[in-house]
Amino acid sequence: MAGSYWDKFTKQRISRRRALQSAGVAGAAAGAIWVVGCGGGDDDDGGNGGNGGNGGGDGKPVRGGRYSVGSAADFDTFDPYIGIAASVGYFPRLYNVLVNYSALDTSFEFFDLATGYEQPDDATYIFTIRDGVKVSPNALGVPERNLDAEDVVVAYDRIKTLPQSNAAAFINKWLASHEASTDKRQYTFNLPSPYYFFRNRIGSPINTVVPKEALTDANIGKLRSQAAGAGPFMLRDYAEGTGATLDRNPNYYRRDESNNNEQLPYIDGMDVKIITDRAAIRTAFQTGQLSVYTGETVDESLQLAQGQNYTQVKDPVNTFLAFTMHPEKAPWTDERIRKAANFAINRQEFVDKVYNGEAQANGIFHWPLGDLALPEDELEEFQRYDPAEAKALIRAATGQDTVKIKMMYPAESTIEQHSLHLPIFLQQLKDGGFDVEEDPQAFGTWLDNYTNLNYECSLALNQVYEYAEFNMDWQHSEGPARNNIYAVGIGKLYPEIDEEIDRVKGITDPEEFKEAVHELQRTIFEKGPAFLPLVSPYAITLYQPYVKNIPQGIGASGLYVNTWWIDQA
Amino acid sequence: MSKDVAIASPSFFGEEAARPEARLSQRIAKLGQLARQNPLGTIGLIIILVFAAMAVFAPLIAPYAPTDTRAGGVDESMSWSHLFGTNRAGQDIFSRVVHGSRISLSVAFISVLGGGTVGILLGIISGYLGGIVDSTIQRTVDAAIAFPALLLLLIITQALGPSFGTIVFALMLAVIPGVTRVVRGTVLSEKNNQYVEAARASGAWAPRILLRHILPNVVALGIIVMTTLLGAIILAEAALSFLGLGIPSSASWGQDVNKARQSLPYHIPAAIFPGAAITLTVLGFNLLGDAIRDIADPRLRGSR
Amino acid sequence: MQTYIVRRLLIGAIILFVLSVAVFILLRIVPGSDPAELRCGLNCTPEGIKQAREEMGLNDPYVVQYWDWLSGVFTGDLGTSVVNFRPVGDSIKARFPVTFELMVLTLIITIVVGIPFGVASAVWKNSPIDYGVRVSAIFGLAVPSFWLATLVLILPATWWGYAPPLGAGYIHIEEDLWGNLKQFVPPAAVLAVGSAAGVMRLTRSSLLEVLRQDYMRTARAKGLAERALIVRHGLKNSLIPVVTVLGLQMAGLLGGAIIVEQIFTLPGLGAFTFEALFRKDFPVVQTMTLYAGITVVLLNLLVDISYAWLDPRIRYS
Repeated sequence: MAGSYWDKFTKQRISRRRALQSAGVAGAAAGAIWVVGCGGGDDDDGGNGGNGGNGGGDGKPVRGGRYSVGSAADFDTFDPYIGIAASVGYFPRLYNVLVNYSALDTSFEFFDLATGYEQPDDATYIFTIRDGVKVSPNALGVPERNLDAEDVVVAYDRIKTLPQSNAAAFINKWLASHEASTDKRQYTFNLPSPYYFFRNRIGSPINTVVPKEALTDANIGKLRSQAAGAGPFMLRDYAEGTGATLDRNPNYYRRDESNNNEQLPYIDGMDVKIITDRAAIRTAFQTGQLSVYTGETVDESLQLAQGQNYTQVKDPVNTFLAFTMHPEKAPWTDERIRKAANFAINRQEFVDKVYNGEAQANGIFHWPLGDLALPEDELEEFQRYDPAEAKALIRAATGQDTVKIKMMYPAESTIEQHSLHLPIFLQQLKDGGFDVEEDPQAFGTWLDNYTNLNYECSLALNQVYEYAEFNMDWQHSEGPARNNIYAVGIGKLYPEIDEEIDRVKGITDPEEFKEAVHELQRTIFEKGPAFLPLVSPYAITLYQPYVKNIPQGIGASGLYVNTWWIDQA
Repeated sequence: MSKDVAIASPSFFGEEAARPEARLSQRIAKLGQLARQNPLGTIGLIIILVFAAMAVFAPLIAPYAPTDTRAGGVDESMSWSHLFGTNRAGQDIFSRVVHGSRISLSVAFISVLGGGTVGILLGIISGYLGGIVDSTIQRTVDAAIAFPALLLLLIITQALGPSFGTIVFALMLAVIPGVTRVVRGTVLSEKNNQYVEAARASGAWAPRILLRHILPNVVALGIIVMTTLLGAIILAEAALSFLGLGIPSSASWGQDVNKARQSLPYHIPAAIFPGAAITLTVLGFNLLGDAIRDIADPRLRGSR
Repeated sequence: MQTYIVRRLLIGAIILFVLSVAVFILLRIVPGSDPAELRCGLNCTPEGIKQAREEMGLNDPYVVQYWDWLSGVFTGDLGTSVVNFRPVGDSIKARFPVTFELMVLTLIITIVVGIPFGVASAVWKNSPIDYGVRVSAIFGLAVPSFWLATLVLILPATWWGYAPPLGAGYIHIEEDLWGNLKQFVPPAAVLAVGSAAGVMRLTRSSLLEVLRQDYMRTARAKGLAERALIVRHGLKNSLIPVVTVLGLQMAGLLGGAIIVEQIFTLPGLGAFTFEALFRKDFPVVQTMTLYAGITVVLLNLLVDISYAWLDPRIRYS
């Protein structure tokens, strides 16, 4: 079983990475904290950037064929505003966003429901709605009409009524007001103030647009197992516990301009198979029952690929395990103890042992974020493997050689990397002068305590962070979703850090932002962060040889791109 | 001489056995005879003794600490420094298998002894007293047996959090109903046999009847049942560990098989050896249990 | 006979009642994740939890909650899952064929393998066949099913690139017989290893027991031809304990073989119950426990009734 047979529900919450990775792209995620997507994508929207896929070596596109994906977690709902599990990776298949930007490739721009936007000022976006984005045939009674600006208004208004929605963090904070023009061809989004991450958020799968008729009271309940949208695919069938069948949306507006304006997508459809057991997913891929598989480590993918003709796509993975310390509980209230923990950790050991070298250490910002993260030489000063320094700090803080800490962890974790990291981590802490009292708990209980900050220190969930906003908010007193859940940021101890985080988020000039965010990281390091990302690995996604022109290098944005095809010949 | 001393008297073993050394060698000879007549049982006993020794002397036998992640590289093959290779976390598999025996055996013994004792007591009370007490206990036992065992185990371990105590408690609960039922059956059948009737008729005191006639049979049966249960309980503990409800951060065999599945098929030793350990241990107990049952056979007929 | 059946059913009903109350209470007093929290979602607020509790009826007194559930069961409403909001009855209907087929196949393999070998083992006692059977049976009982299932799934994939259909949902037998068998035979075989081993041993010891009886000895003295007849006759008697055990195995399997279902990705009732348990999906666990209890009670009754057929001396009043 993926990780263990343990907790299906939390597997859903945590393994969306797994689910999206299987959805056909390796690498990073789009949107909110929980979402993981993978892979790069190929884009051909009016020549606006995007990388080529496998560069023409795949021949001429072929129409037809079906694509099989394994999902470790079941779909919870097809309502993108409350979905948190496997479903999220499929919202881009069923619905549309205004525009999507890749966090990995700044030149990638995918205009979907919008054809473009204007910015009269830093805090206003006026989108022009594309003509002809037509709803698919569906069983919800939604007419097969074109989407318009009013659909966007209705959809985003709805998010405001759902405080538990992942998209609520964005909408409630950053949607000051919005409106559709009278002819419904323009949608205006007004921010309360400039916001650096707007372009990342607006294109997230959880900000896709659902036709307004599907959001009526009568239909809302049905979204648990049905969908109606104007995306590239439509949901033909969903069987709980078994899987979902998606077919090409015959009304899909998009054409492949580089190939005779052929209607996209090329494939006839996708079959999502729910296979909760990781070993079974791997076996299914090996025996040809699945089209795609992402190994847990690079090694695993390479070994699977030995002697086979799979296409390999290697990307950094925007996830990491982190060590969280509750800054308001002793001994973590003392910055020296927090810093000691950072020096006690040997990130290279995780790189070597867990990932066999195919990973790199993270600072406060994980390395896939590129030059937004502090450069390595600076990191050395704040965070290197130095157990002697750790012990010195402990002695300075307590007068003793060791300090007692209580660390909780899930006894049997469905989070794949937890069980691999844990024994190594415990050993490192002990060597660094920490007298660890282990507190293993049942997974559900652990998650409870972790969510409600009912602990002193712990390993965190391996969440996915496509862009830097999450790294920043993890250090904020309100936590990564700014709703006080999981909130262990040292903003709780230093309100000036809270202020600085919010100030930096309002800087829209990329150069200025980079400078400011570096300075922010330095400040946080000086105060001793309570949330320490460990390492981020690479992953290799394997595709059966018949999958052609796979999107690469654009991260989760690949989910929106459909210029790849299946050639069984 | 009074009856109570008779058994200990030299004449019990025969005149030649009057000397102590002869008695001892006679007993050894008897045991040897038993061993030869029950080769499979002997093999079972040897297996169990090997694992028991492994459990007791684990720190001396295992070259590394079971949780030492620096024992070696990751997923190493079998070699002289790592007899069974290393697993995903860099831990020595041989050391883990050796230490794992501690968990499996201790959990099994404690659960079975504890649960078995309670079960025997309940069975005796239920069978001997009869009436309402009997009915109540019996219905509860029936309900408990109707309860899906794994479900019960899952609920308990989830509720109390996984730990040594929880597992033992949960397994004890699983053991009790079966033992109660079997013991009660024996008590009932013994109750009705003629010696007891005669004793009752002659006005003998109740506890005496119990002790003299019923208890020896019951205890004998209990021992046989418990030996058989040991194998099943080891499997149950392994299954629980496999499902993630075992004792955390331990070298439990079931847990290791589960973890190894993440490495399969690239590192087969990580899965083979813990699984083989489980199989062998259970095998040992089953063989021994069979042999004991065969030896005690005449006593058992009719009390299934 | 009829009074016997009625009495057994009544007792069974009482047992089921006690069982359901016990489960009901256990689920609610057990600490850990609050199902309302799980249902509310990841970014739950305290108001959200309160609302979820209302929706799930968790604020009502226990008696009311229990009565809601019980009355629902009698009117055909087996509850609604609080995790995916689908009627439990629908899920059971969809998943039952999977579990049932697995049980039937396992049973078939068990009987076909277990009984003949058990008989052979008893009839030719102490021969190489006997030893062979006894040793394999002992191994069969000792092998953990999850280990065997893992190896059966993974090794052929590595060595020959073959695996049974995974994640394909339930392949209906009428649509694709071969696919269905490919899906079910491996897990059934794994399950049958353990149960066949047990049946082999039981058949053997039971038959030996019967063969030892006085009337057997007399018959044996009369000659070979009679012997064959007697073995067949004795077999019928000796099958009584075997049938008991098979009944118990069936009951267990009808509840769903949790581990095997999960490893082979079969969407059956075992996986369903297991998931529900961890999600604290009360209605589902409640109903599934009742279901499991019913299967045990009914099967025990069936087994006891079948004794009457197997041994004319047994009569119930």
